[in-house]
Amino acid sequence: MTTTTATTNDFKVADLSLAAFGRKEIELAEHEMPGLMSLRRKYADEQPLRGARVTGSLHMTIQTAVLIETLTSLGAEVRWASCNIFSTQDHAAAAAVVGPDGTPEDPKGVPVYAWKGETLEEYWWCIEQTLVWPDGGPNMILDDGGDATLLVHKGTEYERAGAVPDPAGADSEEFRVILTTLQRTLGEDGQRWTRIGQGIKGVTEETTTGVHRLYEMVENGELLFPAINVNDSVTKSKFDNLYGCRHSLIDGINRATDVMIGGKVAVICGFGDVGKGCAESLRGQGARVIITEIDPICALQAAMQGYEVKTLDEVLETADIFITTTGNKDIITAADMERMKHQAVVGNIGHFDN
Amino acid sequence: MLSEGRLLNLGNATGHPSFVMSNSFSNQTIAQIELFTKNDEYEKRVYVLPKHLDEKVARLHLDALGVKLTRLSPEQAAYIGVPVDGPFKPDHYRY
Ligand SMILES: NC(=O)c1ccc[n+]([C@@H]2O[C@H](COP(=O)([O-])OP(=O)(O)OC[C@H]3O[C@@H](n4cnc5c(N)ncnc54)[C@H](O)[C@@H]3O)[C@@H](O)[C@H]2O)c1
Repeated sequence: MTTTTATTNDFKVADLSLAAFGRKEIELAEHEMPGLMSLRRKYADEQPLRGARVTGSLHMTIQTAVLIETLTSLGAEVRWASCNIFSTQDHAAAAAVVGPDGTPEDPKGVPVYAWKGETLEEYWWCIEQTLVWPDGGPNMILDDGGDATLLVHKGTEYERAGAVPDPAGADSEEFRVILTTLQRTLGEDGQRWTRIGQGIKGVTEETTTGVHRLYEMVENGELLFPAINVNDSVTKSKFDNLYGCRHSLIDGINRATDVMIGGKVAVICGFGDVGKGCAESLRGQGARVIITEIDPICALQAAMQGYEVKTLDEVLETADIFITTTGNKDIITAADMERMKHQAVVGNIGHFDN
Repeated sequence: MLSEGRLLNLGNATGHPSFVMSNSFSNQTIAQIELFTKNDEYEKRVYVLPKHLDEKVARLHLDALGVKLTRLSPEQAAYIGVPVDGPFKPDHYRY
């Protein structure tokens, strides 16, 4: 970790001097984001989000900066963190802190806690900073993957129990960090998360994985506030997950490897919305694409689109590129990777990394 | 292994392009307005946005691409049983 500067004010990003570059890109992005810009015009007088205190946990990119400034131009106050340790664009974070009217010396934007390359400890610390407002808590959450919502719910649960489970017993490194964080906050204030949870009117959730967590919480009678599943708007999942990944999958592979994709055998695990976009993207580059699926409907869809559908086991030794899109776990294991060709490319575009 | 196994399109590249994110984030903004301004209409459950708002998000992006939408005549609308101004599909329609 080499990037962070001091938290002079109420924010923590890599480098505020990147703000001018970030602002330039935000202005370019605004032109390509007609939906957000027309919402700004439409609600300029009405200010429907006046009084909203929004905690956002969503990849701190240039596009997200345009979202943040849309929320503030509709009257909201905002605090923001990324929902992934690697996804922050540092110039976007800097520009959001500085704001359109501020300077690096006198920032006038919003409190952002995000930089590219956070440790897990730093990541959960950032989420905590966005949920704890100088004068209380948020009344809205805007989540991607459900981590901000998770911290409020787990915190509330353990405060009710009066104890946090032993972090040493956590089943993942990430959950160990969450438990350690909550152990500390329970020591500081035994009602913090309960109070924050009570102040929240609702959450809007961006992605498949976070929505899945929300439905589980409803089923267990644990959900503390109403939720809107944004992922399953048609104009989200059938566009972002599909056409978004069709664009950004090969962008990611090319920037990371510079390996020729044409002619290679590529395996895509999962043929949901994300998998469909990834398959089209690799086929468009001339890769020979093979799909793995557990759902007979999606498997049949893949076959009808002309893809071979096989099990991972059959193709481990022969394929060149492996992409997981399932949002599930244990798709490709270390043992699987030992059987792959030298220099096979392995990547994940589903929400988690396990 | 790219991005230590985490989202490779955001770890190694810059994620989705702006235009597609404008669709997602317009949904986010409208959802925030819904939940914040009509809070008493919502229980502790998970909701999706009503279809007319979904169609509104799409509509906001047509001009930028030069899309010209055909308009139903009242007779056509009555014949297929949808309002002239939408929503044009039942909730279970899969696109
Ligand atoms: N990287 C991004 O930019 C981005 C964008 C949107 C969504 N996502 C994430 O991508 C993931 C997938 O989203 P989606 O909308 O495509 O979900 P989806 O439910 O439409 O698709 C997932 C597919 O994986 C299949 N699957 C599950 N277990 C499998 C296994 N063991 N082997 C093979 N196939 C299996 C399922 O049957 C399903 O068809 C989620 O975690 C979501 O949060 C990432």
